[in-house]
Amino acid sequence: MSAVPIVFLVDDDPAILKALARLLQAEGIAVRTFNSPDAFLAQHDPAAPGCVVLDLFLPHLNGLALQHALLASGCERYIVFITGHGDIAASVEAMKAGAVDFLTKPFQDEQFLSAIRNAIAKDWLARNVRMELQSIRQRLATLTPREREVLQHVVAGRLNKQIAADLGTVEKTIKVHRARAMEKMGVASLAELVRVTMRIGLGTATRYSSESKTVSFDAS
Amino acid sequence: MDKEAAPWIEAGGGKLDVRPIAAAVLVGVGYYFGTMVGFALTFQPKPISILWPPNSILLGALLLTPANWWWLLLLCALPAHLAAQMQSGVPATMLMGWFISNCSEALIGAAAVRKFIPERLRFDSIRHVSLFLFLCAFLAPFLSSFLDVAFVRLADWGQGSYWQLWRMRFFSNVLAILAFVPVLLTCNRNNLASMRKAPFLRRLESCLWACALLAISFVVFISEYEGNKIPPLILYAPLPILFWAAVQFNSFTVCLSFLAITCLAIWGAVQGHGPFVASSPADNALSIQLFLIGVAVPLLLLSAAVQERRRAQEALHRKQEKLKLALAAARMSTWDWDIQESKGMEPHESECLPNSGNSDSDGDGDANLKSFSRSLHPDDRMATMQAITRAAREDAPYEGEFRIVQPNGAIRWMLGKGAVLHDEVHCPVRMLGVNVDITDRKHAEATAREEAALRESEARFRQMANSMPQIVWAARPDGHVDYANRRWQELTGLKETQTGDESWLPFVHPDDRQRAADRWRAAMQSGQMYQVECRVLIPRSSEYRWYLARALPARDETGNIVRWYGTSTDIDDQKKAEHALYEMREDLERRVEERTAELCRANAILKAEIEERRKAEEAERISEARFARVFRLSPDAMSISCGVEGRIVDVNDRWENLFGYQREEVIGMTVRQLGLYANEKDFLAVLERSRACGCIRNLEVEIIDKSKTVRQTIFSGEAINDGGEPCFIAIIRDITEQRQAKVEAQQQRKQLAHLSRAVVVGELSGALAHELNQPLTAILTNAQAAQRFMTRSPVNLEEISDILGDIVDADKRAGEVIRRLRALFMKGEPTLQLLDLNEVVHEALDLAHSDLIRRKITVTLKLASGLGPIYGDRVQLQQVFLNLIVNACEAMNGNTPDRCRLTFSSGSIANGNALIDVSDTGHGIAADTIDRLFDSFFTTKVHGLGFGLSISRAIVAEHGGRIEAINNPGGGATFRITLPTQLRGLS
Repeated sequence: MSAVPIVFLVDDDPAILKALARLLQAEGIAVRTFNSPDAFLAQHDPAAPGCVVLDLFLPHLNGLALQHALLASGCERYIVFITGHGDIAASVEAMKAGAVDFLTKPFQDEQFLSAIRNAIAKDWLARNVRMELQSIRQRLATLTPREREVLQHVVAGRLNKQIAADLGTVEKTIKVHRARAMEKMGVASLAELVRVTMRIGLGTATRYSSESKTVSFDAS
Repeated sequence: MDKEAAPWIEAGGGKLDVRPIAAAVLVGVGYYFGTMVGFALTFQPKPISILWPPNSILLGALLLTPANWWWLLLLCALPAHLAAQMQSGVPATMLMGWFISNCSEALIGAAAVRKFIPERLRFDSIRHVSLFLFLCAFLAPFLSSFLDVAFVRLADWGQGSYWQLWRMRFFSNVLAILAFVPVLLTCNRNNLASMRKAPFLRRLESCLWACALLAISFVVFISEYEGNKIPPLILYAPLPILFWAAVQFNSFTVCLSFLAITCLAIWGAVQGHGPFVASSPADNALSIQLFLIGVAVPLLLLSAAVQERRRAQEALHRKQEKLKLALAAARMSTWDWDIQESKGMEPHESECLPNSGNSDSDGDGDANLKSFSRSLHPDDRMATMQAITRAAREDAPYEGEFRIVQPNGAIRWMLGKGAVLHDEVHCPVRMLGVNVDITDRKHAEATAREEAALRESEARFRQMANSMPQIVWAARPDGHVDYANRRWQELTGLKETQTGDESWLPFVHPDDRQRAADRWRAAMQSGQMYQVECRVLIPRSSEYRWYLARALPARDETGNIVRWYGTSTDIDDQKKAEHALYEMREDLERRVEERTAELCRANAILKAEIEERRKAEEAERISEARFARVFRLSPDAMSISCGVEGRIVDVNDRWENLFGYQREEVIGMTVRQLGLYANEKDFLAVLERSRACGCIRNLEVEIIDKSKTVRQTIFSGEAINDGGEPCFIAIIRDITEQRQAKVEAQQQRKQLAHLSRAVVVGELSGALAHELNQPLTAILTNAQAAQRFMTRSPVNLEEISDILGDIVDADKRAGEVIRRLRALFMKGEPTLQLLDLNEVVHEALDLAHSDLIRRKITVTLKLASGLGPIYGDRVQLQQVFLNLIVNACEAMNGNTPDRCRLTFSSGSIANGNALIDVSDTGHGIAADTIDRLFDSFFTTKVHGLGFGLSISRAIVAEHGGRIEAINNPGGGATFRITLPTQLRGLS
């Protein structure tokens, strides 16, 4: 989380590449430049935070194709397209595929920088959410099956007594499980527990069934 | 049994002991039985023996045996005698007496005969028979009878008188000898063999004869006659038979037949039959004896005579045969000419000479001589006949050679020899002679003579040939040269033996070789004279000399070619002289021809001149009038100026129009005064040329008319001599309008090219905008980045400087794009410079770069390095390539990215030309449009004008190249541009 976001610049024109890099550096943004989509695909680190600036028309593999290639490889990258031609069809396609912005050359520095910042912010947000969910899941994974079972009943809003009856045990035991599960999940209150489990969709996805005593988690 | 002994002894002659003894025994036996027979044929009671065989048997034996055997034979006869006589009771003295007398008789007869006839006694010889008759048949009994009777008288044994006894004994012994001895002597192998070998008719005759003999003998001697009536003729009956035998058969048969008759007659008489029984026994005996002796003597003589004659005839015949053979072998014939009767005959004709009148030998003599004469060869007839008649007349031996012609036409040489025979009064009676066939000898002689002559001739020929200065040679009919004289050998160094088929050919000059060989072969075939002139290599001096080779065939009588004789004569000097002469003559002829031609030409020219002058004088007037018309009405401006200064004499109407002056204004003025030339250098050029060659053709000159307008003209002029004063006719054609039109056309085409360029640029506007956008974006971004850097403190000046440098670069880049665009848009004059074709391609691709990327077209470059520089206009060539790029892009519109490939390939081809192929993978060119592709206003595009390719073609053509379109085998089209490079000039 502490990593500095990096802007990946991909353009076949070295002058443009150099100028944009310089502009971003002037704003203190880390930059990596690639003169061809192939070089980018070969060298870029998907784990690194940041965004991509892509020329729409590149030799061999154009910007849109690169975008599709990234999506296909499961890499979430926010892309800012730049182009010499105001090609509406291409821009629509790019936006549909999740492009952050579509800039027509020549463009003002603020325009460009705001697009970059926007993209970086989006990326940062996305990464945060992903990390939070991951931490909840990790905490959930530390629970024993019994604790997880009890937890499910708890978030479903059932009382300890009801839970004990359902699980065929005494209320005291349920209380102990409940307290331990809440401790493991790092929450102090029931409301907080419900919110956490809601984040990972546990609450909504939980079904109670008298016949089935198992609760399925969507861990992804 | 006697017969058996005789041949046995006869066959002997050796010294074998057995044979004399055997002979002696046989004699003894014969003697004994002879005695018995003698007793049997004795009239009883008186011992009157008609026939007493023992003596004759003894005599016969002695005659047959050699004298040294005789004592043995006589010794053996004694016991037989004694044995036989003892029976008759005769006293011993008488016995011995008789034996002695008998032996004496035999010995006398045998010795006498042996004395006169040392060889065998023959009964086919009159002499032998005569001697036999006298010595044996007469003398021996005659003498011995005296002895015998003397013994009888001494012993007083016989009755009767001495002479009576002597007569009885004599005749009986004579008859016995006549009857037995011939039979014994003739009974030999030869006679018997001849009887056995006799032909059938002869045998038949013999049988017939034998039957006749027996029959007649019986009839005559055995039959009984009534009383004494004996027909006297009956005694002659046997004679014909005996003569038959004597004439027809041999002596043995005769003797045998006589013996038979004797025996029969005596036997008949003893039995009391036959004709001899008429009187007392003694008379009867005597008459029988006399009759038989009378018959025997002539019979034997006749037989001998007949035999002798027959033998003589046979001998003659054999001789004749021998002669005939000899004549035939000797190829001879004989002739016989009866001079008196003038009969010619040639009886002994050799078979090989059929024509000698043999068939006419019995005919008329004259005819024979004539036929002989006819058979002679006509050339010899007279001479031969004269020689024969002369020989007859002069009684000289004749000898001559002549030819006869045989009926089959063959001619034979004969040698005739003859001699004259005379009668008693030495008068020539006949002429005998031989003709000898000497044809072979003649031929041999002739051949020998010919050979000798040939040898001599050959020797002479060689001597002559060798002493000749020419080459003399001879060849066989097949062309094989087998002789060449010494001269040839000296010249070529070849040995005499080194002749042969083509041995001469290598010496012939190669140019003449074929001809010489061909003619030689032709001469061989035709038999015509061979003649050829050729050069022959003389090895000694290693030079070729001309030789005349000639050859003629020698033929035999039948016309066949026997040999070829040829000479080769050195005609080199002659040939060279001839050649020199020929050249001289050629030269002379040529000169004469030239001179003649010149004269003719001169004459013709003269005539033509005269004619021309005459015509010219007449035509001049017409011409002048015509010229005046032409001058006036010519569509070109014309002026006539005179003198060194060029003072105008006359101008035509067109001239007035062109220059705007009136005729009156300019006549008398010089061109310079009028200031008609726009440029001084034009005037000087006209002046210089008219002076140098007297004429000017199509010189472009700018003139100025009266209104000071400059006009383009083409100036032609001719310096003429009009009446001694140098004049100049100038013809000026105004081409201002033409020039204008041409310039306008060029302008239009240029405009069109520009328009087309503009269209292309328009089509590429998107790409161009992008090309411009890039540097602009870079500039803007850099500038703004700089601004941000500037706000920092401290300001990183290094960074700022770097940014400014980049801004400058980007700006230049933008400027470059704009410059190129301007060049494409500008209507400037084409500027020709040396260009790298690959660079032009790159520039064109740069312009279209963005467009190509946008269209996802992959560009492949296969540009060859080392292409020669092209002298051309950069912009125009860029235009061509841009055109092609745009067309290719259009063609590939809608293709998937993998089917969007544009390939540029360049290379050098022959003649220093460069080649550029622009290939796409589009839809290609339709077959029906490929021909019109480069036409103006032809387009396949919806909004196309149809200029692009036609302008491209015009541009390429202006650069001296060409452009063509080809459909690729795998789809798409290729535009191929060929341009000449500057390497071409170098190469």
